[in-house]
Amino acid sequence: MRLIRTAVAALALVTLAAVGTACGEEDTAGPKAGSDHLPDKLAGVELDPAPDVTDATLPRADDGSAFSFVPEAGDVQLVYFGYTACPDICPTTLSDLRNALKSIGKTAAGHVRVAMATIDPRRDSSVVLSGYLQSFFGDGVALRTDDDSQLQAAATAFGATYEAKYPNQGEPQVSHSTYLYAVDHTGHVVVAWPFGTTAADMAHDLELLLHREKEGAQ
Amino acid sequence: MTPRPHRARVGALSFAVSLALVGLPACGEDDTASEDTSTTESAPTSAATETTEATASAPTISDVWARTSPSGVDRGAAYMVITGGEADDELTGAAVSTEIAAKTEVHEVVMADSSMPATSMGGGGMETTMPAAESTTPSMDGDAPATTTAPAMEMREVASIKIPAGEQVALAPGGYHVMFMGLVKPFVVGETFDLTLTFAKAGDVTVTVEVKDAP
Repeated sequence: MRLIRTAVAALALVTLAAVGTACGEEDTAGPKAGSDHLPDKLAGVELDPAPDVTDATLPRADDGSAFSFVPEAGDVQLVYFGYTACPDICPTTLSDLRNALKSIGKTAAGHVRVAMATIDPRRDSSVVLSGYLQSFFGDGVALRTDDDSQLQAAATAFGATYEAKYPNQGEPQVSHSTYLYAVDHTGHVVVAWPFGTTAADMAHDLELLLHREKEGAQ
Repeated sequence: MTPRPHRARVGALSFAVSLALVGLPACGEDDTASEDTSTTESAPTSAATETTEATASAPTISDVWARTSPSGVDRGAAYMVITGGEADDELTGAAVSTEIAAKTEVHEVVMADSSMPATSMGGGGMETTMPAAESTTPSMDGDAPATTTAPAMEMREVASIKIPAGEQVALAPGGYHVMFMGLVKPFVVGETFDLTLTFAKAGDVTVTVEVKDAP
């Protein structure tokens, strides 16, 4: 973009007469051509049937109160099942999401809530987990329980799977499904992004989901 | 922008030799695009064959980076692209100074079949090994079959990574990575540190890792 602008400017300097119009054109044509026609197809995976997570709940890491995954109308709730000792998959997905939220702008991002539930509560204390999540998203909600059946129930509602094994010696072995889930105000998982979904695809889907939420609210 | 590939000492030396042998035409190729292409193309073949032997075992490494540490995390991962030399080689290890991390290992992320209890490390729970990262993206399309249960992934240490001659092997998120455990301090954007990679044939190659938020 900047290159183009520089090129335009340079051209304008050469053909002095064109200066006014060239700059004018550049300014009006500039802002976000993409957001006007969003393809209606989500880039992520639309699970069929869309999981209903209305009844699922997990305790917040900070105060232990029950957290509902159902956002207010107009908002989108994102949910990730991960763990902080995960050096590859988790930070990649969360940082892609951070970039996606940056690119859709503050107003839109204000309608996107992020929650992360730890699947490794033995190593992820409330403090560690909250600090981790908030280093990506200032107002991210960390979710944690020591009750594995409660965690299992919540994960199952989303279709997420995990397994954490703690051998007596050596590194704990953790495996987990790597989808990042988006829940709408009806409590349904409307899209799931597999690991490797680009920030641009996430941004596209978020804009589309927020747009649908807005239309639904009217 | 793209970091120059770091070569093993042998590689650098023979590269210099080849420059000396080929002489001006080679430089011409680098500097002025098209002045004397014919000469460059037909640069003394004897020199070329002589030098290939010396560079034979030296893979080149580029785009080396590690992700910024999230708060409270004492582990990290580094990624890069390794291009095989003239002969097949294997990456057999990685190391950093203990001022950086307590332990360094080469890992890969694999699909885990979570319906099967994966008994022990490297046990029967593994499904498809994810190949080097280029192929991780295409399958991520929205066209992927919508299953209710998401595929699970897990990490495991690998003894070595094959670096076939002339082929690029990416160490990228979702595939292979160099993993650091017990970071002495968090990785901060813009910092750099040395990472020594050990190859079966080429020996040790030290590269500079740059800490970034994203590739």
